[in-house]
Amino acid sequence: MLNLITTLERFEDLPALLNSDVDTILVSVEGLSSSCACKLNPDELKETVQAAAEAKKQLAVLANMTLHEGMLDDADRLMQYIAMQENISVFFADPSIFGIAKKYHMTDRMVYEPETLMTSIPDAGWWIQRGVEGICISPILTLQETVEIASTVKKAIVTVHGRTLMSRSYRRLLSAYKDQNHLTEDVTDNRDLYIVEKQREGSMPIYEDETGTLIYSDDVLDSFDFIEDVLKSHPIGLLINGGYITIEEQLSAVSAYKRILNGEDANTVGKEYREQFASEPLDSGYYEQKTVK
Amino acid sequence: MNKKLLNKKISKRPELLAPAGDLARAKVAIDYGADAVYLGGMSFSLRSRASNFTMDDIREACKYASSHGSNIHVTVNIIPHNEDFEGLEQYLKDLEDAGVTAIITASVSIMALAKRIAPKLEVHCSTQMSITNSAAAQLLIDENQVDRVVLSRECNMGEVRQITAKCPVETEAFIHGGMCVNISGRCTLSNRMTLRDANRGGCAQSCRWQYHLYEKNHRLSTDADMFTIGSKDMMAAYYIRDLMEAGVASLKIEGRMKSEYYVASIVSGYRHLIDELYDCDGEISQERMNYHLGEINKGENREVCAGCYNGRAGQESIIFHEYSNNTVNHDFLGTVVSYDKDTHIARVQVRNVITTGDRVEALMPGKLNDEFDVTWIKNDEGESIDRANRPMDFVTFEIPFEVSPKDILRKIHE
Repeated sequence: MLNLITTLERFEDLPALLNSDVDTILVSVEGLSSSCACKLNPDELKETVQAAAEAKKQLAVLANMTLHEGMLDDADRLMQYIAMQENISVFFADPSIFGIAKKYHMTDRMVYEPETLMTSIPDAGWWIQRGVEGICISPILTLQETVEIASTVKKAIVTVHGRTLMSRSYRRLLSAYKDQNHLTEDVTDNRDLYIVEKQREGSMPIYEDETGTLIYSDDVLDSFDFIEDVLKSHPIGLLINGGYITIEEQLSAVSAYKRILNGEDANTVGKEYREQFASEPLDSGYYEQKTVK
Repeated sequence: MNKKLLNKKISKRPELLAPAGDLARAKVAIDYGADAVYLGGMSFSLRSRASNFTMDDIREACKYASSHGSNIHVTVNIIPHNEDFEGLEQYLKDLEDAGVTAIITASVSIMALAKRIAPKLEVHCSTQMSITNSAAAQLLIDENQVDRVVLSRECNMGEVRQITAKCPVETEAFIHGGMCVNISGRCTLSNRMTLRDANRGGCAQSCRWQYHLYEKNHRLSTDADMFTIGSKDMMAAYYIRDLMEAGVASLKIEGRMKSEYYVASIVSGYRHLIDELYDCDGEISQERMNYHLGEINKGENREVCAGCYNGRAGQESIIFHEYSNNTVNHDFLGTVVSYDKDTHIARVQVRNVITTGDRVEALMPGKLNDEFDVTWIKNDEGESIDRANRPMDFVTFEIPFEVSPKDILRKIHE
């Protein structure tokens, strides 16, 4: 069955997502995740695990943090906890997380999600040969490239909706700017900040926390015009990123893609969605735009 | 092993690994003391705007390196799309046949492919893989038999020590040159804004552009102080001793797009520093350290920081103003073409303005630098001139000590 996945951005959104059509909720946790989403502490994670089980939803943990040497022990403890829970997948980027997963015999619950780095069939195949549950195709690929990978490797997850991550820095860039210019505003853990390039117009959300600084795309990817081709390539999952969109928009996106999966016409569903969120910077991403070397 | 050797803090002289954008610069790097040079071929390499090497160039570089006791590493470090694998197998075999020592790659499947079809090639795990812990290194060693791990530039010195101590294969660390402000390979600012793929050599360096910063509808930045995130270059001369004591096998200079002068100056500077540190087991005076810093800085024309070696890079590592990286270094005056030992007259190809009265330093591979005054200049027609100001022209003047072809002349600022 094709898995519809979305992220938990705010802990208070959990009940709404549990009541939605989504199949898997991807949560960020303290010590493993680097994203603009809220990071669950151990108690919140336990609560979420229980609530998801009761609602018969699957749970996945985002373990995409770049782990420095001193963080390995904490990561190991968290992975050990996750290994003991049933039906929790782990979306990882750092190879060390896969090494820990091998130790806990949970490689078949691992999803390789290196953001920009998963761009080819051979690299995807390498991870699949090592027994991962799946791989996330980079959202910077064209429709043709995406479909080629998904249809070949059979275990692909495709990002179909939401803002995409454009850059990840280990440096605290907002704090550096604040210190340099003596700003008084809080810039860490502040989800109201965005940047606009001097000669352009798009507003790019920028977020800083203890893991560094993240810059997200100025527009919101939607895949309604391309979803039928994507589905023909038989991905195992469709990912809807909830970062920097409202919960209403996120729930509507979940509902829209579920309707398409249930057989409704993608153009009709997409038209309705775009009318509902006409003020949002919806865009088709790289599906039709090939980058050059 | 004798007791003296056992007590040494620095047990091995590390490899000095230098960049080269073309054959001429590869030879310069080797002449000035690089133990190994890394370069990119026409395909499969980042830095697509660097003048990359043909296979004939790579063969020639390998021959030159071999005859000077040096090695050639080739970057195969694109994050490949499906189309990029076309011709890769043959390319890897050709590299092996050419005598290349190692490839540097960030793709797990390219690593595996190289091990299978070109087993004489060492496989070095690129910094694009952002290795910041020993467990990640171990996984790639176990699964792909990589021969060396290039550490992420986000590692601090303590992490370098720990990873190097635990890692069963060699580690390599950056010591000088440009730095991505973002984690290597994890940035698509360029893709988004210019459709140029940063992970396939097309980076437009959008991180160095200027941005307005807003909180909701309130602008926090001003026109005078735009939000910028461009990184200063790395200059880690102060950390060379620590890196050597940690047992890092290779110290890497970034800059395949840099000039011949830059390569010569920076390689020469670090060569002397590494050798002196090794010979003195890390114990050199501040005066000598200052001398080496001065020599390295003569080749550098950009703002620098120490990267993350002293902890996570912060405010001091960011360029907060526009155009700071566009300054032109006018110190490189020219290159010696020939020298007459009897008359002490040198023929020099001009690179920047040379004026009578200039105090000049000769940078000579394998020798200590020496200085002289330009007392007269003649153009190629034999006419006396006060200034040689046309780049690539040939002029003659007297140099009171012996110099050799390819020696570099640079201006000394009093």
